[in-house]
Parts: sequence; structure tokens; C-alpha cells
Amino acid sequence: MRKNPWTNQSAAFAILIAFLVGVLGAASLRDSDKPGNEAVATQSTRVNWRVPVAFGTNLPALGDNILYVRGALQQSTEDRVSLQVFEPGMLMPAFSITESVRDGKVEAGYTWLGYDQGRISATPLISAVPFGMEPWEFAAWYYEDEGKQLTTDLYASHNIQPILCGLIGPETAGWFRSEIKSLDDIKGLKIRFAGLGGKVLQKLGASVTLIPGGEIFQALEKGAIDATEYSMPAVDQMLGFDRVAKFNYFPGWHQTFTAAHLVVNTAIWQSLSDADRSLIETTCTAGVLRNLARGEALQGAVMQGFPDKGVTPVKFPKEILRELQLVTNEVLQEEAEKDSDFAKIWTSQKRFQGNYQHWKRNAYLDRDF
Amino acid sequence: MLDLPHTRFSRWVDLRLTQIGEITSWLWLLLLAVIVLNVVMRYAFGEGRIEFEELQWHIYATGFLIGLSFANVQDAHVRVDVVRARLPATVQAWIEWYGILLLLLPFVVLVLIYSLPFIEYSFVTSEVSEAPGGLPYRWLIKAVLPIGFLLLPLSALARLSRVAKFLFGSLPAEKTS
Repeated sequence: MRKNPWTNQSAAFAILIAFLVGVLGAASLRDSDKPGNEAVATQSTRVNWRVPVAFGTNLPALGDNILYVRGALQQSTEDRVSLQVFEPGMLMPAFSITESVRDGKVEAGYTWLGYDQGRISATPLISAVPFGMEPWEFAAWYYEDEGKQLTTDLYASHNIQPILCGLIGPETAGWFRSEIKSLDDIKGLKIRFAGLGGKVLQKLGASVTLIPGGEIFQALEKGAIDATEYSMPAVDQMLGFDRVAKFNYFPGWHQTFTAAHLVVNTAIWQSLSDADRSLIETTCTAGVLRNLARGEALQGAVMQGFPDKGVTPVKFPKEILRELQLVTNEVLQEEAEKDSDFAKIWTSQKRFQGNYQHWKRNAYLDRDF
Repeated sequence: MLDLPHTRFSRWVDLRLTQIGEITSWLWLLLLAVIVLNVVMRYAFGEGRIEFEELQWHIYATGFLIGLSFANVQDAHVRVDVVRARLPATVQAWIEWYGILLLLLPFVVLVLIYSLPFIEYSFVTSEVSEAPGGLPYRWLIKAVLPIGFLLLPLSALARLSRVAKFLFGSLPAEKTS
């Protein structure tokens, strides 16, 4: 032992030095890309963000919109502004995206803000409302009325800048393994339902859970849940719901529009040049329209194929929808009483909708024309 | 198996952590009961309860996090190696020494540092479950994380004192047992 030049003492010394070098090296690398450390941003500063997403980018309209936004940003800046998109679960669970953006663990994320409902109860109002606005109506409220300001205010204390970046139409009202003839049939069912629509079903006696998109099929197939909603038919088909649940309900009462936001850490957002902020906002605005167009374009063909798959699309009769609307109003009222942000945003939406009704009622043809 | 001598510190810590671990182990019985109850309610009475489902992972997480230190005391944790077992005892002890000092303890410190804002955010936003029928007070279960990660370094320090005694001879004065 003694002749060995590698004594325990020298080994300890070497290992400690290596450890310290590793720690210091890691710390110094990390510091360089901490938010707010950059000098004043100019139009030539590179923007390279890690962007985890809540929906797989293979999902048409719902998930692939961020790829359109990324492509548009890269093309218009010749790759100077680039987003590294991370699929759900790669960096973090889909429901932890905003928290990670807030903490600066990632610069930005693309998600459905309603997933934050456990922490910020008003978030479903800005992402999907039962018996709420139609997509273009929501866009009108967001861009032309108070929507954008209220959304920004809601997240200001969470160190997050939300930017509306995707919008699609109604989702299906769910895939059920058994037929729903009246609302009593919902009692006792175990259902995966997001947002306020989930609270409505809970109130009707269902037991409502929220599981991420990637886990729904397995739960439905195994019978761990009896029904689920997720997205539009083109997406639901990719996830295979039609193979295990044969009743697909419409209309999408629980989610008349579905909004997705690019959420950016506030310090990162403020460190951008005016030009870059404007570029990202404009690209997201383009993303909203392209997303809407894509979502509308894809569903017809999928639903045409329903009979071949043995799937029955069923429309809830009007009486059931009226009942659902009554319960929805109770739920919204309760939420508004519990949370002042919720009350503020709901009031704004109701005012705008009331105003818009005059136009909507008169200007549009009935749906069956 | 590496046979390490005890120190007065390690004996005290190991005893306490073993007691805590044994008390915590009753949680598994509770977990079993909740699962059985949940299954019976869902399949016999057609009433699924999200509260019970969430309670299951709350109990599981608690048992697991408190159990970390117990497993370390019992040396019952998984060691992913095939080489170490063939090495002489002294080398094994050195690996233990550096493993605890350079890998385990820094990891524990990192988890502790990052767990505090995690809990704080949950607390200030009065976070509840995302599921409509889910459990409130999400910060409570999140707060179990640092508890588990305070007990774990305690068990690691106890083990470190035993390794030190083995490697460097008697550290603190020790009564013969």
C-alpha cells in the first residue's frame, strides 16, 4: 500500500478538486443564460428558448400549431429567433409548464392555461368556457375588448407573460362507453373532463378526474374511466378513443372555444427588444388564425368516416343542453363568489357577450342552412 | 456485506429513524384499506371517488419519502453495481465515503433548495387538485418532500460517521459495547 503513489490522501485531494471544478463549471455555465443577465437586447440578439408543450406536436391543430409558430419565427428571422419545442413529459409533466416558466427553469411554454385551475381558478375563463363564446367572438373579446389586458393582469403576479397563440373551435362533448339518455345517466360515471365543464359534471354526480392526454386511452380501455373528452375528432381519433368508446357526443357545450397561450417568463420577455416582442406577438396572432383554419378544415373528413368505425355521433337534445346550461351558470356563479379575478373576468365576458348578441342573433344564418 | 462499526451518533440516529420508519410503515396498511374501499365503492356501488384516488398517491408519496431514510439505515436500498461487491472492504468503504459526500449529500441539498419555492408557490396560491372532486391543501403533500429529505441526510451522516470510524479508526470516544 505504501509504495502506491496513489495514496488515499492524494486520491481524496484529486476527487475533491474534480468535484469542485465540476460544480463551479456547472454554475458558471448556468449563470450565462440566466434571465435578465444579458446586456440591452438589440435586434441582432439571438433568442433561443426551450418551449415545453402540453400537447404532443403530432396532434393536428391542437398540438402542431406551435410548429407553425416556430417555423414562421425562424423563417422571418433567418433562425435568429428559435424555439426548441419539447414534447409533453420530456422536460416536465404537462401540468407543470407554467410553474417552470415562472421559476425560470425554461424561458417559455405552450399550454392550455385551464390546467392551472388548481392554483389560479380564473384560468378556465381565458382558455375554454362552457356555453361560452364562439372562437371569433373570443378573439374579438381578446383583441378588441378587455381580454388581453385581463389575461396579462391575471398572470402578472405569477411572473408570466401570456400571449394568445392558438385557438380552435369547440371540442366534442366526450366519448362515452354507454349511452347517455338523460343527465341521470351521468351519475356515478368516472369521467376525464377538463376545466369548468368538469365541475359541471361533478355537480351532476359524476366523479371527474383530469389526466394528461397521453394517458387517456389506456385509462378508457382498461375501464379506469367510463368517458372522456379531450379535443376535436381528428385529435381524438389519433388517440384511439373511437376504438374503445362508441358514443361520441356533440355539441361541444363545455368548450365552445379552446385557446392556447405562449407563456413567457416576464424577465425574459422584458429583456427582448421591442422589435422581437412585436415579432413574437404578431406571429402568435397569425398562429391564432392558422390554428382556427386548420382545426375547422380537418374534422369533416374524420366524422365522415365514423360509420365505418362503428362510432355513433350523437347530439344532445336541447332539453339536456338547457339543463347543462343551468348547472353551468350555478358553477360559474359559485366560482365567481370564491375568487375576485374570476368574477372580474366573467363580468367582462358577460358584458361583451351581451353586447355581441345583438349582432350574432341577427347577422348569422341558423346552423342548418 | 460491508460490516461497519457503530458510533454513538449513528446508534442514536439509526434507532430514531428505525422507529420513525416503523411507525410510518402503518401507512401501507392504511393505503391498502383506502384502495379496497375505493374498488368496492366503484365496482359494487357504482360510485367512483376522486378523493380516495388522490388520497392513495398522497399516502404512497408520504410512505415512500419517509421510507427513504429507513431504507438507508437498513442498507436496504438498491445498489446498482456488480463490481463493488467483489472489491475489498476498504475500497468499498471509500466508495461509500465519496458516494455520500459528493453525490448523496449535494443531491439532498439541491432537492431541499428547490423544494421550498415549490411548496411556497403552492401555499400562496392555495393550490388544490386540478380535478374538480380532488383534495385541497396541495402544499401539505408537497411539504412532505423536505421532511423526507431532512431525514435522509441524517441517515447519511450516521452512515458517514460509521464509515469514518471504519476508515480512520475511532473518531469520537466510544464505549465498548
